Amino acid sequence: MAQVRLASIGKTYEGATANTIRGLDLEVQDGEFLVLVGPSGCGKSTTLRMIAGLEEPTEGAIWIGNRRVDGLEPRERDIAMVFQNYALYPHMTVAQNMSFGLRLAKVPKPEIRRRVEAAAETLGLSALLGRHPKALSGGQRQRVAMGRAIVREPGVFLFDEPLSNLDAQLRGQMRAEIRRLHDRLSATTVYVTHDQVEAMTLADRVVVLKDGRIEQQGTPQELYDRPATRFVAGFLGSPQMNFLAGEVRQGALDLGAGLVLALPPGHALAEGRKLDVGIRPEAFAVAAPGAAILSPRADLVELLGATSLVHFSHADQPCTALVPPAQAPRAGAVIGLTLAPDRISLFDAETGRAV
Amino acid sequence: MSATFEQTSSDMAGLAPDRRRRRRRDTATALAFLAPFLLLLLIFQYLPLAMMAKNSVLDYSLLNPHAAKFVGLRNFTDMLDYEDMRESLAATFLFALGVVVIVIPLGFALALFLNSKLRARGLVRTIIMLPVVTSAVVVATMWNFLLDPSNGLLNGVITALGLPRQPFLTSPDQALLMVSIMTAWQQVGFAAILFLGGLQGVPNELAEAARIDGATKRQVLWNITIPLLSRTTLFVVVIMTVFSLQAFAPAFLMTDGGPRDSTNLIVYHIYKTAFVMQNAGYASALSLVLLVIVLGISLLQMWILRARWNY
Repeated sequence: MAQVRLASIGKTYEGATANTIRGLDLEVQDGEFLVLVGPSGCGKSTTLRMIAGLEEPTEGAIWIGNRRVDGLEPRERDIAMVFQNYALYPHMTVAQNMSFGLRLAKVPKPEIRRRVEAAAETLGLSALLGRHPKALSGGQRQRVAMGRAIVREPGVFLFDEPLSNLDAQLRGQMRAEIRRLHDRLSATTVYVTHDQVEAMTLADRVVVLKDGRIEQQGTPQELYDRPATRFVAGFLGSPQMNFLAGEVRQGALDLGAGLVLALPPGHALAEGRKLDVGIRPEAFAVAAPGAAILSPRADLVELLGATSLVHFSHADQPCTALVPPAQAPRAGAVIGLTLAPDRISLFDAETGRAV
Repeated sequence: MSATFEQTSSDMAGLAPDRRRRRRRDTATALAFLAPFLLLLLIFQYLPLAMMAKNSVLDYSLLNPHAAKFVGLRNFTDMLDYEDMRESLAATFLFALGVVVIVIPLGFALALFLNSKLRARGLVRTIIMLPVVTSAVVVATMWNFLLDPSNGLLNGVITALGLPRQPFLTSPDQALLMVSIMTAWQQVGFAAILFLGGLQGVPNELAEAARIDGATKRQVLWNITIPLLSRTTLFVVVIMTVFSLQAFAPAFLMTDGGPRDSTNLIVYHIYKTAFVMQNAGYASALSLVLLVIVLGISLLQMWILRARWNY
């Protein structure tokens, strides 16, 4: 098991005008499950590939354990990686795929067999060891790719969007399996995804990347509750956080269309300051007509089963509230909503940073 | 309800002949487009083939076609009774083997080279493809100059190095090898382009996965790239074999089938039998056998490709 450290990593692709990665500092603790998340093109896969040794950083240093590894071949880094498209060797059986690395490392045959069988058992692949990848389903291929990583018993596991080719149900299943596997092996893991649900459910720590820089890092709950920027707030959480334009007026928050909220506790803001006010859909609550602070007309109501999504507009800005289905209005009807001041996030309208 | 049903059923009844008519029109259009090609194919491929099949059971000379005489399968039994076909086929297969053995590794190496990040890739590709598109006659003439025992460039180099002068095309031991080398030189670019296509079809991720699994560049090549190119390799082997079986120019222009029949390639042998020895019936029978051999090789290839390495 090992710790991974990236120090002032920069990466510029040949011919590119802008840096893909700029001054990235990152530490992954021994046994930690770290998820790198961000929109496409944010540099998360490049970062992972630099740790793997498939790309070399243009500047900075990478350590795995106590060894500096940038400049070393992937095979000298004590890592295993699971690829998005599985990258199974099509001409080898499942067993041969899983044992390929061990055979190259000249591990004794009985030991190879023991490890492959153990991994196959863990992943439910025992009956498929003699098959070729072509004869496997997507989920099974994904398992083989994981098995191939596990048998090597590496210091660090790297996952590059491993679930993005699976259907929703299978993705949920495999997500749980990956987390269970990590809890059992407690191996250092770096996991790249663009799916915020995967980030939230799997990670010990989430690192949100944007334009090759770290936007924020912390536990999933920290990031969800106290996003440092408007970008993080909007990226994490489904359905997405609502953003309403607001302004500080007479010591209160004016959200337009007659909606005025008290400033959240601990905020003393200059008169006239423009803000983006972030409200999670679940922060709204249905209220009796007298107690409501806003009474919009529902444009659209989506029943999700356990909850309902009510879409409405506030001062011409789209907004969504998450309410119990029993309290959901019909589309076109007026709904009374309240909002607790301590459940809103404030961001500077210009910089997008939390205030 | 019943009104809708009636309406749809009458619609369907009205549609069926309509659709049939349209299908017939489509077929006619397709045939019209194909006709020029089919006509040429018929005149220049299938008609001669049919005539050849007919001639193979005749004793027949081109000088006096009217004296043709039906001899049954005698042309075929002659092939077994005389040595000429066996010797010519042996020389031809040896020639094909030589071409394949030289072309496969060289073509593969060139493809690897072309697949790397190369600056003048287009230029190198053109250079490699140039011999392929050059006429076999030009190539044979050029190599005649190169290999000339007394004034040839190659012997010039050899003697300059202080080594003994080589007879090349005039030696029964060297002629076939030299002709193989020349043909391989001419065809290697084609093989390289085929291999390059195969290489570009191997996903990059497989090599990356193998590198992470601990493979060196050479191990990736040996364990991943080469096995995944087995289909391409088989294809190149078959193409080169079939091409070699049909080679004519080297024997015709460089060696006249000699010395001592060592380069008497089957197509040249057929040509000589028909036009020099005026035994067109026997030559037709030989051609038919060659056709069956080439067809057999192609069918074998298709069968292997379907049965194995079907990733």
